[in-house]
Amino acid sequence: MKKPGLRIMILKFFNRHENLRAFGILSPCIFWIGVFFLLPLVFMGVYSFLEKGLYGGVRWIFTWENYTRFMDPLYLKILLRTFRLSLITTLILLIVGYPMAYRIARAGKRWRNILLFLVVLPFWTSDLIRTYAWMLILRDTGLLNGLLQVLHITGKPLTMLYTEGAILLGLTYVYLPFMVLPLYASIEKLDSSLLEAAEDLGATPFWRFLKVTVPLTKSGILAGSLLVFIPSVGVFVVSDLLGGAKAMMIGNLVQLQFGPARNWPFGSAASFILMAIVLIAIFMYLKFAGGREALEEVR
Amino acid sequence: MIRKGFFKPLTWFTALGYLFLYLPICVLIAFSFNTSRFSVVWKSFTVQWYIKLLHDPLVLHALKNSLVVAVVAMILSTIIGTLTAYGLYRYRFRAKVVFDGILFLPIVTPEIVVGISLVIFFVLIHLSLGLKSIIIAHVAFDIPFVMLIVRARLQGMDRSLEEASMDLGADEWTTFFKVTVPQLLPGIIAAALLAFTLSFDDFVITFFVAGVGSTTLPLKIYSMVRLGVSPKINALSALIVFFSITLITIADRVQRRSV
Amino acid sequence: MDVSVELRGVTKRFDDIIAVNNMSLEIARGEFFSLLGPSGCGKTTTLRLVAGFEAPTAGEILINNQDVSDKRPYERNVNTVFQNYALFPHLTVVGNIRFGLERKKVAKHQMGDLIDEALDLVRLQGMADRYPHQLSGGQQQRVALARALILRPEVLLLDEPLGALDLKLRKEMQLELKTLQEKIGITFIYVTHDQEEALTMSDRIAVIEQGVLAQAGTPEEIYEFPRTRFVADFIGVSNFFSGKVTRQDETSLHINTDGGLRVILTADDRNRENQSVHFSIRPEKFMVEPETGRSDWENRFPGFIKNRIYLGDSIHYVISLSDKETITVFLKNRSSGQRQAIFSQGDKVYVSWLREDAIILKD
Repeated sequence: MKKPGLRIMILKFFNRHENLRAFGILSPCIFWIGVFFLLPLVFMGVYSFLEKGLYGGVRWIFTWENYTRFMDPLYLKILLRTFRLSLITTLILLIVGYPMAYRIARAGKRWRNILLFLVVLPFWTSDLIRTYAWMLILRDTGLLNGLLQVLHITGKPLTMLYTEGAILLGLTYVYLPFMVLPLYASIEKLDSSLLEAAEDLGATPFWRFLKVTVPLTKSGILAGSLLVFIPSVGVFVVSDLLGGAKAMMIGNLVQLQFGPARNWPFGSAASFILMAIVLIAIFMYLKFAGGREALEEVR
Repeated sequence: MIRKGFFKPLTWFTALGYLFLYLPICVLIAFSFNTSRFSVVWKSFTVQWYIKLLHDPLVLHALKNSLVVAVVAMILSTIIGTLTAYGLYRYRFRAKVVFDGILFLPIVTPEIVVGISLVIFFVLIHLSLGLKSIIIAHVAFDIPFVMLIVRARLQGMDRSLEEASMDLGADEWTTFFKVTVPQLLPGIIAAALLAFTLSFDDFVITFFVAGVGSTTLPLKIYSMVRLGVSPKINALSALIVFFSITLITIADRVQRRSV
Repeated sequence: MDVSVELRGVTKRFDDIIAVNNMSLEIARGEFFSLLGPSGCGKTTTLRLVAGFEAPTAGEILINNQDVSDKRPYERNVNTVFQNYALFPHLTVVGNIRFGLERKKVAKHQMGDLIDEALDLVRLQGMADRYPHQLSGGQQQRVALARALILRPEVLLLDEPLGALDLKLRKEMQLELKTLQEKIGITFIYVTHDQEEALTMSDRIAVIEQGVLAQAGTPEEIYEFPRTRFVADFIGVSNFFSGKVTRQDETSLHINTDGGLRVILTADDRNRENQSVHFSIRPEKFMVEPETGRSDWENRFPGFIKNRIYLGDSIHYVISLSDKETITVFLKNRSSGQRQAIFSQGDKVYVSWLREDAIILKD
């Protein structure tokens, strides 16, 4: 047997204390996420109850005012718009994403991998650039207006940029992968003999879809909806570039407070509300989709 | 199976979906080669916008910043994320569910919330905004992604390989580097490439935690866009998209490789 | 006995499950020792305790008379052949074999010879630069063996190493392993759930039931003198009887079985008068004669053939002795010179056995 060196002694110590060893290996992550993610969120929460300072900054006086301000119709409208646009985006993407996911799941193995990769690719590329590309197309002197005029469909340019419609289009575009991937995952698991059984039992295609396919892919539908709804609510780039000042969403309101308006407490409160909406959405998702396994689904 | 009559429209619909996904990017790339300042008219092919980019010191400076940030964030987050994935895979402890949940949070938290909370934090601790603060923020949002990708790889690993290694005389330390890491390498490389891409492309969080002189490429693009659409932005965007796609494709290839 | 491995009251508990319960064992140097039992009985856990992958909850493990209970796997002079071989997929055959030598810091110039020798031993010359996935199951198994043996361990632990191979290859490898073990003289501890495999290869066998050592002994002892009903049942086939001792004298036990047979067995040193007793008889220990038979064995009972299975080299009969007692009897298909009667279903017969062939069981 070899003589225990220092390294062995250290390893031995950790072996006896399994929890300590786990903590040791996880500590960099605990530190980083704890200090640079969780702690700032706490400070943000604290800030949201403070009064705004004269030249930016805060005064350490407690107040509810930053939250009560949301009763103002101006801000209420922004909240409602955020909700409305996010929900509509989710619905559109369900309608667009489901047939796509279904078709991918039924493709041959080679094609399936290529098609999936093509969906994943935009997921990892810059939202900013992808949104900017739509500016090229939608603006008054953009591609679409140019085409419409060349084809003599319209005489003068239509205002497409800086509208709610443009935001919806942008959100649909940017978050399409978020919907297709979880849908694909659940449709792919679907046992096609179940569909045959349904057909065998006399179900028409429509009924079969409604009564067999949809319930069996519920997990994907819910996961996809969550994954689209959450970032839509918190979106900033898309609404900023395609919506402008005319169609602000919560994200833009937050940015405004931290930028030109220099009202950090109010921005923190708006941000906190945003976070609350996200957490409620996750909570509801867990309730409907059932527990921790559902969380795995999202990944 | 699906009836033929139903299948065909489905295929067409899906094709349209892909067209929707990729057409804007193609338009962007096409216009980056257009001589005309006004993108609606195609005049002739040119690479002048790319050459102009190369002579713009501000763009080059932003590129340098972006690379520094992405490389450092990639290294740090890959190390931390890999250790975390390993720790979660290897040990059983009671707080694991909580830990899992907390690691899930950075992924679902809107970027803007992360951005402003970090600004508040940095101002409170008197850390001046600059490359350092950007890197700190990027590592924080990269860690969960690295963790997820490496963990997926770990789940496919045969646990007895580590036991075999120790059985053959390697201590925990040697086992981790001689057996575990080589097994995980494809996952680790893929995770590193994706962390790099995420960091290189990030706009929203960087927007808040960047300071004077620490402008990254996405920030540069944003400020150019504010001034209006221009062929130069098209060229820069096309380059970045091309760069990202290359990295992601490599990551995908590596990840699929068995060992 | 020159003891190689010793377990002293070893217990292993996982949360609420007791995987190994107060196990004590002594394994001699150079012995081929098998741990035999159904899946989930704790035999693999026992092996993992010896290897050091698990730490005992209580008790001690000694290797070469040294307490290694709190030593890590890499501090123990034992090596393991894993059930799935656990070959490192990123290393070649040589890389796998060299792995342990490098950890032991064996000098470079010695390594080459040692590796050649090991490859020779398991007949894998020419495969040196292949990767595990390029090898067949049998070849992978040999690499795993070479990788472990090259370190000259005090003990080699094998966890169902032949389980993944097909029947024919398994039979071949059984023989090869046994020959190899005799040649190198290293202690083998071999985990298996296959009783035939254990009987074929082992010097001694430990039968394990639900974490408890049921019986340890040579294959012959285990087969001929099972101590418990579990052992008698798990190894080979047994006929079980229960009854009450009506009279006991110096040499014999007189028993009334639950099925109403009056049986005489050899008395052991315990007083069993008026106590209930269980005993078993192996199916090949019976003599069966036609109704007209005239033998004078002491335990002789009439019965009839309920069922017959013809297997070529032997015939299996299910014979009913009474309403409650049905036995299985194996009769060899003998030479024509000593041919015995072959019976058909429904035939009336006499079944008899010698008192020495009945084994009194503990429970």
